Amino acid sequence: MTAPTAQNTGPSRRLAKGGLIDRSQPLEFDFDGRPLSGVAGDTLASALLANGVTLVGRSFKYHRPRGILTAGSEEPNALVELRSGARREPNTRATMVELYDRLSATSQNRWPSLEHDALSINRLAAPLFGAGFYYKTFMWPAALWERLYEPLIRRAAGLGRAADHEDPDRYEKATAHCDLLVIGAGPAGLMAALTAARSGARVILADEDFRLGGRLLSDAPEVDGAPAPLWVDRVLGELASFPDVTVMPRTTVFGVYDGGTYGAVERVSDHRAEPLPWQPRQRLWRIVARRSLLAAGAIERPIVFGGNDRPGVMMAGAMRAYANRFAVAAAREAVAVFANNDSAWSAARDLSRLGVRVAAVIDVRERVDPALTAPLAAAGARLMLGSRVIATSGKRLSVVEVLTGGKRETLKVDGLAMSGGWSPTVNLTCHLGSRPVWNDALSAFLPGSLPPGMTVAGAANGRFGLAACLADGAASATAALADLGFAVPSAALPRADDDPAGLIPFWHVAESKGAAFVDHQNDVTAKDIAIAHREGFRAVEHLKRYTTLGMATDQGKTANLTGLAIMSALTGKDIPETGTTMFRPPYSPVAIGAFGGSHRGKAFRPTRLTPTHGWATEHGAVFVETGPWLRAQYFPRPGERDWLETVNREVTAVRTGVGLCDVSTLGKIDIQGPDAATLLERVYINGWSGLEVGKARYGVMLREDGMVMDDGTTARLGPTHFVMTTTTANAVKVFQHLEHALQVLWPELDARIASVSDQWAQIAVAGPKARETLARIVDAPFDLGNAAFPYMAAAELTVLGGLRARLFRLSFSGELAYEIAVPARQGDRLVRALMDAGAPFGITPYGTEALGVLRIEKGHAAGNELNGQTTAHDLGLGRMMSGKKDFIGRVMSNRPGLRDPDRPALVGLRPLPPGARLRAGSHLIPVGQPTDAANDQGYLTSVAHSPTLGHAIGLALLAGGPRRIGERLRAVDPLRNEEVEVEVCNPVFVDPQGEKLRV
Amino acid sequence: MRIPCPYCGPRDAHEFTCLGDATLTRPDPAAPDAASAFHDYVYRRDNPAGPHRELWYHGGGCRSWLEVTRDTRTHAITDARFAADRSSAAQGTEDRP
Amino acid sequence: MSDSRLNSVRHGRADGAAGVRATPLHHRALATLVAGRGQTAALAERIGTRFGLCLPTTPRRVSSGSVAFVGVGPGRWLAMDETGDGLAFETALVEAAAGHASATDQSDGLVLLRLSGPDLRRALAKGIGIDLHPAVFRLGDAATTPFALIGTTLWRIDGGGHAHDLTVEIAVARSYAADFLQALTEAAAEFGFDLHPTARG
Repeated sequence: MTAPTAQNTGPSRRLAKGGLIDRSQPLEFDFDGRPLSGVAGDTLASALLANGVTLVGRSFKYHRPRGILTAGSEEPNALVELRSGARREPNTRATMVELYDRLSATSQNRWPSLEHDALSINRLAAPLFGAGFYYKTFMWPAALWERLYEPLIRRAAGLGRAADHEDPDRYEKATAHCDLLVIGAGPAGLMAALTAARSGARVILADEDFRLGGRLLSDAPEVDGAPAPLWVDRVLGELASFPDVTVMPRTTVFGVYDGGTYGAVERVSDHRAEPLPWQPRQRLWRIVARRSLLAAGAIERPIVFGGNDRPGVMMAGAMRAYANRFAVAAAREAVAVFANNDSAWSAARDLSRLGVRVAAVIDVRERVDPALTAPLAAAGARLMLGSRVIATSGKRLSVVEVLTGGKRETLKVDGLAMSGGWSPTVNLTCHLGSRPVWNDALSAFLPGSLPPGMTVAGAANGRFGLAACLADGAASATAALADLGFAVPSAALPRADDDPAGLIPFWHVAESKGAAFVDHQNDVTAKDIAIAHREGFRAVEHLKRYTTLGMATDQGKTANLTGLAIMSALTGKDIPETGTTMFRPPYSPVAIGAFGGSHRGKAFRPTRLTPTHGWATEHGAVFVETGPWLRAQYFPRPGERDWLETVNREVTAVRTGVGLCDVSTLGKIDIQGPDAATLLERVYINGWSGLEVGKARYGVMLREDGMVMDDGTTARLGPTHFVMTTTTANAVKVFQHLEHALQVLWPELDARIASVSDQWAQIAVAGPKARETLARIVDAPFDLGNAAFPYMAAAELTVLGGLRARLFRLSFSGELAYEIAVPARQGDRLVRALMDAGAPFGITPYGTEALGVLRIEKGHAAGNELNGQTTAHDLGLGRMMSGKKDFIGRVMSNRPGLRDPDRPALVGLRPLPPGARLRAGSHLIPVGQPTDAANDQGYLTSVAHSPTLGHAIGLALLAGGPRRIGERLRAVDPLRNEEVEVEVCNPVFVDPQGEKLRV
Repeated sequence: MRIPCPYCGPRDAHEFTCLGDATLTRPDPAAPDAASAFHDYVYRRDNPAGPHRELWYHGGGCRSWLEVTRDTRTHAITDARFAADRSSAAQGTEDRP
Repeated sequence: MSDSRLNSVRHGRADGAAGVRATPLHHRALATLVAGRGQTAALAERIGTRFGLCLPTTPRRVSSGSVAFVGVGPGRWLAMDETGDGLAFETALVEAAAGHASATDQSDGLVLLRLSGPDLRRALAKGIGIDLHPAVFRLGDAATTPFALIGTTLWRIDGGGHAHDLTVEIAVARSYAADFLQALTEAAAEFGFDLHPTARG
């Protein structure tokens, strides 16, 4: 926290009466540690101004003192850090922050204090930070860049600080649907929403402000002969009576997407110190709208002149809004107005009426309608036509220097309202790639071709008059709804006047003294644009990148057009020839948290639980995420030192007694119909038609490019009924693959598939005592004997006295093993029954770690080997490929490159020093050869400590593969800087003859 | 983007996965030029600017494979139909249910 | 329903009536029915004869007595029987289909919930992308679509309340059910969420 900045306040500038604020509700807040107070209805900006705080930040590069420029979301200057601790948020626009009690804000980018900023010395080093400074700096010696310039620039330039802690708030995402989405609740938007509502359409009216009305609040006109806010309240009251109309204040529609989809962020709780219980901080909306109406209004643009960034210089419309809506005088003594158009005269008139002394109105035009000038002249303002401001001075504005009648004159004022005219807010019309078109008469870009379903109304469409906006809103909504088949009742338009909107194009005071800013946020001056021009960066996209014009949080809302106009003057081309920058989403910054919504932390993606999850939890399982599943990784027992001891025990139990493991996570697909076997023939590399009912077979699937996609066992339960298992990881992918085969490749096949992954709880019972264990739960007269139910047998039966079950004699571990399936709700009952049945044999639950060790001991390829780059041959499964049929991947798997005997193929590895550890990912290098890419012959895919063999074992993909059994190699792990000598061996480490699984 | 699924109605593109070009037909594996035909089928793709027929799988909905006609320049979708109808019509077999 | 409300569990906002209510339906036989290629018409005739209803060809729920069929895809239905046992229902479907379709018991594969309440549509909008406005998602309409990235099938039923009140039944794969309920609880918390004990149905 910095020392209080005593100078940065003054007596209250709150006007004695008026404004759309609630003076009965005072709100305390602090800025840079100083206690201040505002009222309900204030923004942070209006409250700061009311307290006389005109200096609110330091600029991005030059650390120039900056004040509040605007009263809306286009604000480039007044960026503050809001809140503290974990809720600290940088770069919030004070003009958009709704004041709440105990709000705390801090100015950014200043050191040691806002008032005395040491780095404002940067202003003296301005040439260093001029246009293209990043690029030029990179051309200096590289060694200096990293050590010197980058840290210097990082400290000197920049915006606010992000919070250091995890965001404590919730975010939500939601979808809404409507017939008409109205974007912006000014006169055009309100009129459109009302018209649509009365026709019975489903309407969403969204506005970024917390109070709806747009310019009706800031300009204080009359509608139907009464103050406009009364009309706004009446409209909102009527809208509230329609059940299918949703009014969304504090909601920015930030993006237009394909298919009539709009992105919006609702700031649900940002106007509170903390969200209310059960409320998110923000809600991200995906709005699906049949039609949309953009009524986003217009943004006033600055004039580029010397010192146009000094605190006290403000947009004329903003000064008008602070006076009318917030009852705040932006200056204490007197203001001058500098403009090229009529709207600034209306602003001056309002200020004067509300008691703010208007010292002078300076207009670049020689003639202005006397109806505008007369009231101000009568109020004592000097009318300086054909004149321009060339400089300002004072830390806070105190003097304005004017060039008038060929002479320089100074005016003592503490406020300067400027207006270079208005730019329709066409941003959203460009989000699908179209560009706005230049209109000479209005000196503005108007919407070009529009996103499908969108129309534009009001000031956003270049209709600046109030009456015109109301009429345009009603007419546009009527047209859009008629298009959708709604009968729109006609209604009289409210009475209103059109403000005069005369203007001559004027952008830059050539006679300016001192820095004249184009882009206040990025500290881009008119001189920077001249440099870009001189150095050849004239195309608008080059201009942007070279000068940073239009970048950062405001995306050049007040700067783009003036920058373009100045470049146009330099090149001698007109503005449309010079170009326009594209607008892309988001319209204004959106917190990343809002895009994540509720999907973060444990809810990042959905989690699946196995049928035995509760039982495993009771038994102290440690769980691991495998894809979406939470599976038991191992079951530690008291006294075990580490996971390895646990896993060794579990593996040994399976090898010597019996263990059980929930394998329900395997994908299970029911395949029925007359062509079921044909489907299998076409998706698996091996033969299926000959498989007997009551038997299962191991199958391998390829992708069409010949690489292995998945493997698993499929059992034949009836002549036209199979049940396929897939790996856990590929369950969804294989189902999609089968649907592709049936719907796209061979729609003539009659095979019917259904996922039964969730229907069955499936438990592997493995080990020499597996049969004896199962025998105790299988209902008579089912015969488990080796002859009646041999290896790879499959049957439907009952267990535990009538419980429907399926039994498969399959083995992943290489032991005598079965997989037994029961309906999922019975999984818990089954596992407890198996634990009881196996108790005499010491039945041991095992998890995915032991499962992994068992399969590596048996040399079974799994996820690490089925990596999308291996063929059946690579994995030693080539002999399974049937030569009698076609199947997906057959043709491509026979490409010469994939049959190359030197391709990396699956082998086993054992370390030569007994007790040495192997590391997965280690590269295999010939003994005596240097460790380099030329000698890299493969790598270890899977490693484990084998408790059965008492040493480490590994699987590897090694060039030349099995023909190198017996060779010695170096397994080099360059990440850990380790290496170990290994011997290539058969990948089946345990029971290579497969005798144990057939007993 | 929204895709008008002929079974489910218009749905957000999040519910779908795109496989790409729908104009390709799996070559005859027994043909003498099968190796080169499969090479083209697996790897060669046109990249048209304009209307493009694509295969999309409605995995988040009815699990239909769809043939969607999408303009690659504007994302405008002018047609979406069941891929099975297209395939079976081409092969002269009866339509799907 | 009114009986079971006595011992329901409230989540989220505690005051006032719950905006969203959920009741698990544990005792329904469920099965997927998949038509053979080009056999939908023949199947519809047989199912119609056996169960006295017209098999829907669109995402709709059609019921007769205790049995209902929900269209979940072309030639694919989720069939249910409020009184049956899973295997028996599967067998009944296989017999009725007489080779024109295959049936697979899913009574354990899916968890079924009945959801209702004045704020149900707003709560579901936080996870579901489709339009559930009562004029669009009408009585008997069904949809298969993800809620909070979790696959679901839901259909609108007559909850006995106001014509605009939304009452749906929703089916979720069993392994996802806990996560689904968690996501639903979070979405409904601001409205007050009553989770009822099991009901028959």
